Amino acid sequence: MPEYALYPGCLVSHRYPHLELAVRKITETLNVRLDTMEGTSCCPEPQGVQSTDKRTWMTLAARNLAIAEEMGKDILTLCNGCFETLKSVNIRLKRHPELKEDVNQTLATIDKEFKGTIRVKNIIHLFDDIGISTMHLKIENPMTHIRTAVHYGCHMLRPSDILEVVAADRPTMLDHLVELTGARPVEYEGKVHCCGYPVRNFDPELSLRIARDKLFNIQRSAANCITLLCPCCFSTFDTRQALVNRTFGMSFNIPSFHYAELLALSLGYTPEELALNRHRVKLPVV
Amino acid sequence: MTQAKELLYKEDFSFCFKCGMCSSGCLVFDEFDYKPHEIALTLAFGDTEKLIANETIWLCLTCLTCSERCPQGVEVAELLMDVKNDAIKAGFIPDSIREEALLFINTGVVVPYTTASKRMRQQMKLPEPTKPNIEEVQKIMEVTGFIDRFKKKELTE
Repeated sequence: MPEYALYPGCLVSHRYPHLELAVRKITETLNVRLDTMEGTSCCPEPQGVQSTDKRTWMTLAARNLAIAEEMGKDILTLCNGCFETLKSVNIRLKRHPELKEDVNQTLATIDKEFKGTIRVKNIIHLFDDIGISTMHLKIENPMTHIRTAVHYGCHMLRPSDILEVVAADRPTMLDHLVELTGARPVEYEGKVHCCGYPVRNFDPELSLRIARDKLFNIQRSAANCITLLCPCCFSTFDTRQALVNRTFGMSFNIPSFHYAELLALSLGYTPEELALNRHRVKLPVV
Repeated sequence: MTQAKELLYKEDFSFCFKCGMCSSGCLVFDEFDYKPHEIALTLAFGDTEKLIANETIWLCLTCLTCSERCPQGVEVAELLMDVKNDAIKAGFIPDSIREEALLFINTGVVVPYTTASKRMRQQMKLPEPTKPNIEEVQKIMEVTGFIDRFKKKELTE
């Protein structure tokens, strides 16, 4: 049975727990064991905190990594931000001994040490470990009525060398996983663009404008919903879609799935079991 | 350049030949006073002072498209992060950034755990989320100077 150290991240566990719920359901069905990491801080998020102070960002990420190392398990993240921070710090510290030394000097003050013994994974890497064919057999309710715009999110793709992404400008890994559920991924313009979330506090209008452009491209495509991987993108496309409509006089009505929710539905869970009523933009496609 | 630069980045921004690939992929190009392809040159000519005082550097989405596209391997977004690190050290701290940093310092997270979170999780029969070990987190923030940068006195308010 594959085992992971679960790192849900603050946005998922404090604001969108239904995403954690979906992941727990999937892992239950697929016979994967999750142990929650204890005492972790924010990953810290790769935009604000890294822009503010790289050394703090790196050292606190190393502390979170050290907690999983003590558990002896690879980390499973549910958020692109957490994934990029933890994975890129993990890889950078493994590649550069002088960075590792610097970080460990600080960690020594709290009796922790970064060793570099584990790996960091996102929900989509789960299937590398389980095997796609095993997954295939478990699909009970193929989502064939769904045509979806797949939104990867920046921090799932870039920096591609560190995150080990092939063809980051035309990614396909999530599209293939969407097909597995029976849903059909459709092409649209600006697929790898940002959702606008990072500047939501600094310049709210700009943030909404970027979201509007993305939603506009999706509306022009054949998609009837969005599939994404990140709670930040979910916040933009679901929670703030009404605000986009109000601000720019638009009338978008495009629901969003986290990939875990789409998969959980195809595995036979009901919308009630997944608390899909937490979505602002209702999911008529279910 | 900065301490963070020496610490983290092998790249030399002098490889920039101003082709503009970075700027052509930037979603917020129009908003920047210093366009992505101008940043390396601005730093090379020592205009760092003007750059760090310019508020539009905070509009970067850190989507990393610029770094990804650069044919010379210059990590433009990360260069800009060094610039922003310097801006903070020099005291140019936008309100929204300060707010998030103080929340992080005080709670160890950037999205707080509220009564609404608790209620939702109970309804979904999810376990209590982990609490950050705030002593450890703040200890690290003290050592790296993070807390000092956002002024200690504001912590007690």
